[in-house]
Amino acid sequence: MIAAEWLKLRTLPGALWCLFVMAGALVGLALAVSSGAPAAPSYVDEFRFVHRPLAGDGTLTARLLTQEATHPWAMAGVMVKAGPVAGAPYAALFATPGHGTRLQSGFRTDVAGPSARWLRLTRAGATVTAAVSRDGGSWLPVGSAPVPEGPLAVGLFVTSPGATRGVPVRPAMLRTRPSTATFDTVTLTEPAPGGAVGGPPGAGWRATDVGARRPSTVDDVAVDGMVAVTGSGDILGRADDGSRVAVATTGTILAMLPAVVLGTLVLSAEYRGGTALATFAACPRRGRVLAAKALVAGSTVFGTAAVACLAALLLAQPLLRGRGFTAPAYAAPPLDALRMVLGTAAVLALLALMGLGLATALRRGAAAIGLLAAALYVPVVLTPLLPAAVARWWQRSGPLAGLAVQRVRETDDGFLLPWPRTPWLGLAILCAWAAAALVAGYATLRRRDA
Amino acid sequence: MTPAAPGPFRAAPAPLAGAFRAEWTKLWTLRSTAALPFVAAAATVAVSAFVCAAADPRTVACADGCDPARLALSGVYCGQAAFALLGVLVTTGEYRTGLITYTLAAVPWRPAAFGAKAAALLAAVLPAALVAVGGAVTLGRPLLAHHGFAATGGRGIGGALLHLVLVALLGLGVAALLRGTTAALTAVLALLYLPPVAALLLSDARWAAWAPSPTGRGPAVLATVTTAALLLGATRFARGDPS
Repeated sequence: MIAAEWLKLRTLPGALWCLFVMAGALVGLALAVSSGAPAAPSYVDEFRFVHRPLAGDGTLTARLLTQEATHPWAMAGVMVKAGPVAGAPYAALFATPGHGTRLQSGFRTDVAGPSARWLRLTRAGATVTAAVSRDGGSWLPVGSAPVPEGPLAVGLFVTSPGATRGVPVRPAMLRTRPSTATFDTVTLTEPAPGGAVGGPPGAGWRATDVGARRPSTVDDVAVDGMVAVTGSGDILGRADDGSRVAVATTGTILAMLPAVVLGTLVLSAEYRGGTALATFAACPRRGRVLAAKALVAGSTVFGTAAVACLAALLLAQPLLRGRGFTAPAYAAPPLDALRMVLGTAAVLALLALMGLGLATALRRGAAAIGLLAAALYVPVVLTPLLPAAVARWWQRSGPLAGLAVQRVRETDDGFLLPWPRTPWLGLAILCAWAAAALVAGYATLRRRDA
Repeated sequence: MTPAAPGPFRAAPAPLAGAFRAEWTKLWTLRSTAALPFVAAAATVAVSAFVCAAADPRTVACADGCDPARLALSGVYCGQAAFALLGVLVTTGEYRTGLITYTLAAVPWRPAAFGAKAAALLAAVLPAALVAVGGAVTLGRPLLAHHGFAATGGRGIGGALLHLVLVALLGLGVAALLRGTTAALTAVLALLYLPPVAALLLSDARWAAWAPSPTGRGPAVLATVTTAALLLGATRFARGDPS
C-alpha cells in the first residue's frame, strides 16, 4: 500500500511542483540573504549618545533613575569613547534589565558588577576605572579598561535590541526597539587643566545617534538636572551567535505553503481524479490508507527539505565567509547546525501532515490550504502590530512554535523563534497540532462515505 | 464566438441578465461558495477585534509608530484568504464538476459568460467586504479609543475595501487561467502572503512597499496584478477548450 501511495505521489505533477518550489524557496532565500554587500562589520555599534569632549583626565558620575525594560540586554549608563562614530574604541558601564550592571570595552571584554544605581567612570591617561554605588557615598570598584590616549567623548548612552541579539548577516536585519532611560545628578569633573567642572547636560553637550541607519525621531529631555535619553540598537562584538548558520533556514517560512499544499494534494487529488474509490476498495481500512498517505507525504517532504536545507547551508557558508564572516570568530558550523537542518525538515513534514489531516477532516483541500495559510502567515504579518507579550503567546501556542527547533544558540529573545530555551518543546507543540489534525481527519474518514 | 443555434428550449429574454442570474444562483446554492462571504466577513471582524483589544500604545511595539487605522483594519490580512478562496471556487468548481460545458452551452458568447461570473462575484463580495470592513472599524474604534489611541477618521477604509474586492477578483482571474482549485488558490495565497513575509525577513522597506497590502501603494499593486490575471484568465476562458 505504501508502494501504491508512493506511485501516486510520484506521478502527481502538482506534488512535484510543490517539492520543487519548497526546495527552491529554501535554497533561494538562503542565497539571497547570504550574498550581498561584502565585508559586513563584525560588530554592532548602534546607540544614543549624549556626550561632550574630554580632553584629558576626568570623572563622570550619573545616577540612573529609570530604565525601560525593553530587552534583557537593553543598556543605559555612562561611556567613554574615542569619538561618536560606530566602531570607535570605548569603555561603557551600564545597567541592563536582565543581566545586572556590566562594564564592557572593545566589543570584547565583559565584566559583571554589583547592581547599583550610581555609575561612575574615571579616566586617567589610557585607563578607565569603573565604580558603582548604591547611595552615592561609598563606591565599589567594578574593574578597569583600556582606552586610547588623547581627547575622547564622554557621556550618557542608551540602547536596546529589538529581537535576537547577534551580528546580523545583513545590517538591515538588525532589529532594534527604542528604550528610554532617565538619569539625574550627572556631573563631569576634569581635574586638569584648570579644574573645569561640567555640570548637567546642557551647553557643550551634544546628542548623536551612533551607527544609526536613520536619525532618531525622539528628542532627549533635560529638566531640572534630570535627563531622559531614548535610544535603540545594540553594542555587540565579534561573537558567532549562530545567525550565520541560521541563514540556511531563512526560506522556511516561504517553504511552508508548498509543504502544506502537498499534504492536501495527496488526499484531494484522489477525490478529483476518482481514484479514491479504487483506493478504498483495495484497502477498506480507512486508518491504514490515511497512515500510508501520511507516511509517504511526510517522508517525501522531510527528505526533500533536508537535502535542500543542507544544500542551502553548504552554499551559503562560502558566500558568508567571502563577506568577512571568517574563523576564528565565525568558526565552522557547530553540531547544532545538524539539528537545525533536520529540525527544519521535520517542521515542514509535520506541516504537510497537518495539511493532510485538515484536508481529510474538512474533505476540502482548498479549505484546508486557506485555513492553514491564514493560521501560519497571519501571526507573522500581524506580529509588528501587536504588543510583544501577545505576539509571543500567539506564536508559542500555534503551529509556528515548531520553528523554535531552528535556534542555533541560546539567545534572549526571538522573533519567529518562539520558546527560546527549549527548541524541542516547540517541535512537540507542532507535533500535537499535526496529530490533532490527523485524528480529526481519521474520524471524518471513518464516519463518512468515501 | 458565433451565436447559439436556436434550440428547442425557450431562449432567455435578455442573455446578459440571464447569465448573471445563472451565476448568482450557482454561487448561492453551493454550500461552500454560499458560506464563504460570511466566513470572510466574520474572520476579518474577529481578527481586527482581537488585535484592537490587544493593542497598547504604551508598548514598545507601538513606539515607532503603529498606525491605529492599520490596527483597526488588520483583520483584512486574515479575511483575504476567504475572499481569495471564494473567487477561486466560483470558477474552478465548474471545471471540477464539468458544469462549465453547460454554462458555455447556455451562454455561448464566452466574454459574456466570464463577465457575468465576475459581476456575480462582485455583487456577492462587495456587501461582504462592506460588512467586514465596516464591522472591523465599528468594533475596533471604541476598543482603540479605550486604550488611548488617537481617532483615525475614515483613513484606510477605502483601501481595505478595494483590497478585499480585488483579492476576490484576483482569485477569479487566476482560477480561470489555471483551472485547478489547488494550483489557483496556492498561487493567489502566495501572491498575498509571501511578499510581506519576505519583506519582514529581509527587513527591507523597498520590498514592503511593493507588497500587495491594504495600505500605501498596496491596492495599486494589487489592482495591476488583478487586471493582468483577469485579462489572462479571460483570454484562456474565451479561447481555450472548456473541458
